[in-house]
Amino acid sequence: MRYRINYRKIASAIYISHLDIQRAFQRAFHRADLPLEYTMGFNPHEKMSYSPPLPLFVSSDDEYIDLDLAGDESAKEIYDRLRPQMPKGLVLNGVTKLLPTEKPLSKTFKWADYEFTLKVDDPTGAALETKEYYEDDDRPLTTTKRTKTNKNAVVDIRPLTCEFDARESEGSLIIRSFLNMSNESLLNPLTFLKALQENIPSLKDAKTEKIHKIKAYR
Amino acid sequence: MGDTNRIKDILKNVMKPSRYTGGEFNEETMKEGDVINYALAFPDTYEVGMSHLGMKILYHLLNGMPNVNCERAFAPQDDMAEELRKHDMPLFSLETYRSLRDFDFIGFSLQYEMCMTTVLHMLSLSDIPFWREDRGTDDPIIMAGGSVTVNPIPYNKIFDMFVIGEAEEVLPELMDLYDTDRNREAFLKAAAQVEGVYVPSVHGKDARIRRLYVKDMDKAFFPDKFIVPFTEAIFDRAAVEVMRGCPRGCRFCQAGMIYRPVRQKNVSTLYDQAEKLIASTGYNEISLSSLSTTDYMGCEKLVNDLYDRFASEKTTVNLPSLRIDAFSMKLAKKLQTTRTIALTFAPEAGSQRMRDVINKNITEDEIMATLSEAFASGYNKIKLYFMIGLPYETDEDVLDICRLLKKIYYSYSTAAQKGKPLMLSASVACFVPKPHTPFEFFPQDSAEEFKRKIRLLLDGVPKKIKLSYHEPDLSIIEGAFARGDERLNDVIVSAYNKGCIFDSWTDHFDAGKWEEAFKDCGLTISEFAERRFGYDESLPWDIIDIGVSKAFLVKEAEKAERAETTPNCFEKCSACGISEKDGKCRFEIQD
Repeated sequence: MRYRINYRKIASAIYISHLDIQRAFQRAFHRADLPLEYTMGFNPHEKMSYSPPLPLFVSSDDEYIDLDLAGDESAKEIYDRLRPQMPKGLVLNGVTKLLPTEKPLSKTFKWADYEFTLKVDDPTGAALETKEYYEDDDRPLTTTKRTKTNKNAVVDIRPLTCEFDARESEGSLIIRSFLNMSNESLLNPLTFLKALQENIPSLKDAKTEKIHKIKAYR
Repeated sequence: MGDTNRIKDILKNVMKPSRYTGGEFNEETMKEGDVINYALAFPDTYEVGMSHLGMKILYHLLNGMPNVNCERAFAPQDDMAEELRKHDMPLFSLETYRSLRDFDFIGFSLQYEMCMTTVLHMLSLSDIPFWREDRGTDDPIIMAGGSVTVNPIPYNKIFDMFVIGEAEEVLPELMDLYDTDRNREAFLKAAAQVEGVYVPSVHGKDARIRRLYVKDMDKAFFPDKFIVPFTEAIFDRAAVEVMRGCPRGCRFCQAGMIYRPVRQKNVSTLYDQAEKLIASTGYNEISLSSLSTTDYMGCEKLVNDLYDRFASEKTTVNLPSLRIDAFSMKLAKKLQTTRTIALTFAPEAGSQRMRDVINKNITEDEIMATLSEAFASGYNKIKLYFMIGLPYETDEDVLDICRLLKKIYYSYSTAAQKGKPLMLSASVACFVPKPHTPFEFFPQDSAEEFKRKIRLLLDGVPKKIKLSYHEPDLSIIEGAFARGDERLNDVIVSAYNKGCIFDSWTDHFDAGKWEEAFKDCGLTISEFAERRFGYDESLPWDIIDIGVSKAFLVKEAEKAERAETTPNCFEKCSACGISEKDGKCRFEIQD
């Protein structure tokens, strides 16, 4: 039976790399004494898959792991056993049982709702300028990113974003946007921020306070 | 609590930030209220320190006390140290991000002579004076323990106090003693009266400090949980300690002398401890730890019991130290996983005469038989440990290492192993005479002599055999400190001031700076490392009574000269002196 585990990555857990998160979950599954299923082959490992990796220093309220278990325990039972075994900062939201027809995690989510908190000299002015700039399709919003085949692949972030907003709050500049989360055109929040900072003058020297993923959408 | 916002800022600029944040699973919760604050400090990186079993034992032991909070501190990597300095922030503990300065105690675990500049590095980042004489009422009490402290004299102007031997025996008592009025001066005076504690400001040269050891390992504290690091530690696995001490009595080996008598745990105790640790950590590997695990009398039963218990959960049992004998091979085969792992053995010397000099008690026939068994079982990765520069060693003995390696190499048939080639590697260490061993009297080879012998090996070993060797320039400084005296305190501070830190990491070690540091103090490395002590001469570390008698060490040194061996403790008592003082040895197993 396949289960989908929904969790938050907050507080000091933002300093844990994706690889270390995987190991932390494996250990938690063992501590919870879940009836794990293993892959075949010379080096058997737990059958589990993850939502796209979150960069270091980014927090999230909506991360996922799919896990195959032998037997047919209720989702609540798995949740109750796993919850006390979670390390600080990795907080369980819930566990659901998946129907066999459910798409794998990598093909499930289309958009992620992100919030960026930035320190700038004039947050109100910067918010205005940022919004105007984004909404004017004639002004470029491109940057470069490393891909497997190209060290400096050019990426235009506008088609990969929607529901964009910028505002001032408590002396900081808050940028909120949906970022593409589909497997083929995943937009890394750091690439998004880099594009804004390279193109919008008042964001050039902005200091990143916080990057937070609020929710993943199908 | 430290300034967490500023810490968050600098964590964004360093590699692997999760080693500085704490918060790992099984981290202890700190108690509220006016408790004693103890910082358990390891003068190396998080990955190394978190692999050390002694740290785990003391951490959970101290936190089990109602009046103590014990927190961890490790040496920050260069990028983190730079960030701390740039932002004028102190080194902080992992549990509450508090400056080490604000602790009542900082207890350093000294496992290797060359960690001392890193100790100073940690004190410097905490803005704590290096010299004990410069520290006052507001400064933490700087404590040291660990195997290096069996000769505490080269460090006795730096640390306020030393706990000699197995610290779990006395740390709780010392905490309660400090709790009576929490006064630094009064405490140090009172602590000097406690067995196993050396307080340089109180004890004179004629003091005699008896080393502490756990009498009953089954009753000794052992944690039922380990902290589970997020980032991978060097040894990222559960471990139970099957015994302390080693029955073998190799004459170069300090651990084999200073952890006498051999003390074993019952199989049932170990089974319980292993089960609890696997359940509480979620690790899928359990290591049976000790100096020589296959000598543990319950080894086969324990291995079988744990194998039967855990095999279905894909949890593996691991034997870290294998002897080159049939019994070890049998166990290794039982535990062999589908992954072909390397087998590691330590013949230590190439010639039989040399192995008799060091009392290694293993013959070439046994070595060859064990390896042929290993090859037949499908092992094709073999790693062998050797030592050069041992007392009474000749060039012939060194060349015998080449002869033995070639003999092993050509005894392997690639065709018979389905085309898998043999991967044979040899690691050669430079012998360092250590205090409280039969070889404590002997001079160390010079760096030039070591390098000449290494060239003999490099010229004599075919390129197909991978040969690696320890850095002679580092080994001789280790040798100088191991048998050093009070004058070396200044050398450490001088070396640190020249920029030496993390000396055990080859990318950091700078032999030239160390040489200068000795010179600045009017000393040379060789006058310490190459010194020969007479059998009746008084030694700097005579202040420590390790339990083994000087007469025994002399007798063993004399037998070494005649290449005579001594049977291991389980075969025949060699009257090392332990039993005279503490009653009979306790190596008999109860089960």
